[in-house]
Amino acid sequence: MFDKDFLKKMHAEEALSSAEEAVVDEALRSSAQEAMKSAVKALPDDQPSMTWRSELNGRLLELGKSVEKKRRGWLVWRPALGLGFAGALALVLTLKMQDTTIPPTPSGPSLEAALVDEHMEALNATTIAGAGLASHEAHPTPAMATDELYDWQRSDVESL
Amino acid sequence: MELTLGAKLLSSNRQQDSAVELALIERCKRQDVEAFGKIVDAYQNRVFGFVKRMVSDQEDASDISQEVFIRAFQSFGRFDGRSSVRTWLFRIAHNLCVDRARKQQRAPLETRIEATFDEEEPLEISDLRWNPETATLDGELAVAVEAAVATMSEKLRSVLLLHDQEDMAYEDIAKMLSVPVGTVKSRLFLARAHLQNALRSYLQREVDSNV
Repeated sequence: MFDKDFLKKMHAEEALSSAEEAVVDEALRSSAQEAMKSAVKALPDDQPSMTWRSELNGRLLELGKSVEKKRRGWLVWRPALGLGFAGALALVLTLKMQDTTIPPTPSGPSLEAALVDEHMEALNATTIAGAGLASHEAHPTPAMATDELYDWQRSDVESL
Repeated sequence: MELTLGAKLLSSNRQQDSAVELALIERCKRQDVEAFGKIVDAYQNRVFGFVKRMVSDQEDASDISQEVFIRAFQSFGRFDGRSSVRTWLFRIAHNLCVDRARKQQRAPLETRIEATFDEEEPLEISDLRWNPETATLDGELAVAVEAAVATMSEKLRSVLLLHDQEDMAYEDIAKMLSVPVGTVKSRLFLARAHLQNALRSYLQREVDSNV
């Protein structure tokens, strides 16, 4: 029924054509093959020992307990996590809203510092050129520090 | 979905059985230990027998067959009902056996079936030792059959046991082993031919010793 090449093909598990598969189907129904099927079917049942079963029961009970523990833990943690998440979300939204209502602070020197500088410049202008000169018209030498402008000499005082 | 629990009907009413089995499966999906115990009751012998013939070592068989049910319990939530519970359990069992064999790098030598094997010549097994009607095997012959099965490669052995002992369909076996149906049939033919050759030698020795 089977030649060497066909058996080789079966051993190598190469794809069989539908015709070849039909040949195998027929061979599987032969009396010899059916006899082997019956022999395997007739093998006695195996039964695991009581020890095997009690060990398995023990392991299953342990697994069942840990599953139950996880479930209970989840019942406690889920609402807590939910609250935590809601709180975090509220905080983020609040901060975002604050960002849009408060104008951004100006970078660079503060307003107070700017006012002081303006006042000093005005004083400089008055000191150098007297009243009537605007601060932008008076250009103190860059190298001159502010305190040098008020470095009154004795002669300056006597001239007043 | 095939709904046979250990191939035994729980009652004479098939619809009632199906409803009971569905309820049992739902409880198992929720990892109900008591419900799963019923699954173990139904399948422990078959699974243990299959595993023992796949791995041959008694201790390995005990470990692996327990592991089958542990894994099934842990992953029952993922059981989708596309196959029967039995097929699903045997898939787990087969995969564990293959993994163990790979770890041990065990590969039994298997004699190739030569073309001298005459398919037309049926194997005559003496009725004194094997009664096909009652489907029981004489002790010695059973041992010979077991020994012949053990000498097969794992590929042939798994198909032989799944099809001939567990009555699993070719398609289910093909899905389980991820091979075409044609390959399943080839393996089955070769497995039975291997068995036939081994038994022929055994019977010949018996005949020679009685002469």
